[in-house]
Amino acid sequence: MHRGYFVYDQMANQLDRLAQSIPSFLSDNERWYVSKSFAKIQGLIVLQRQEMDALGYRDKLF
Amino acid sequence: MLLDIETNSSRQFASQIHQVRTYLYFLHPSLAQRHQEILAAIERLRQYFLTIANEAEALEGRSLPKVSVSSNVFKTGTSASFDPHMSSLLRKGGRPIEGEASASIHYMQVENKYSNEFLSHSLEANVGNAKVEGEFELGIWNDKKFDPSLDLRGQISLSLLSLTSHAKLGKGKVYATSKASVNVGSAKAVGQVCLSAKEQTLKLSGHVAALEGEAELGFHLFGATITLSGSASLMSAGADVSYSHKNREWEFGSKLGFIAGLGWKINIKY
Repeated sequence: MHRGYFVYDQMANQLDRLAQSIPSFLSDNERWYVSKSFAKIQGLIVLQRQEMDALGYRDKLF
Repeated sequence: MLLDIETNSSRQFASQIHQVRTYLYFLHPSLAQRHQEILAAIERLRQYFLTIANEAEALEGRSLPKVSVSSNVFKTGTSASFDPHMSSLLRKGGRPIEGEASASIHYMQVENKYSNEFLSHSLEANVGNAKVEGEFELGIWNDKKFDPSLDLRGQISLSLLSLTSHAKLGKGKVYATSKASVNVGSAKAVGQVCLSAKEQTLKLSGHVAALEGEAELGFHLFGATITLSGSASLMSAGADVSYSHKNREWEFGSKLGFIAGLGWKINIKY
């Protein structure tokens, strides 16, 4: 399996934890912007994994 | 304190976001491009929290304006001193024999001060004022040589209401200062004599005015000072004349008025 799968798993978990602990001093608008940014990164990671699957990266090492 | 916490939290959160970034190499261009997009989005989020921290720090470093108000009712003051500087006199030293005395009464005094990084201003109001003061300096020796000098100054002033404003705008080596005062129902007599080989100053004045005002504007440019001052009075009678020249300072002014008077003065220090 390509190393990218492990890296993206780890990144997704870290981002999820950070999204759960957004600093409380942010205003509602700022929290909305930060949450949206986290969600956008998670979306890009999902897309990346899907394309890696489509290109057969589960059977590749590099 | 709140700003401190926000600054630290923001920096910590930015640092945690930064730790998410992991580099990967893809031969496939689409995967390589998307990975760069992911890293760029993480970096934007990190910069967002760093900006919040920097703005909080800048706000914290900015000095907040200070405002104070103080007041006194029936304030009196007296002072007197006399110092012959005997040891200096016996050793033919340059220190003059000097003495001064003053007494003042203010029925009410109110002072308001405001200052921030670039502007400071104070306004003092005195109601029902009387002041008598006098001072003298008598010099006998200068550089062990007999070089007499005499400096006498006496003043009596009365006013129903006196307002004084001081302001300073700017900082560092370039700034402007202003001073303005208004007296309502005032009477004043001033006499000043300064006689020596290097300086000759004579100033005599006597004024009675229903309304009297003075304003002074100073420009301080890298060590040189130019001061412009003017005065005006209404329902007044008075006259004064002054001339002074001493080392690196030149001043001349005059004022003459009856019913309404205008005066001017220019002073240059270099």
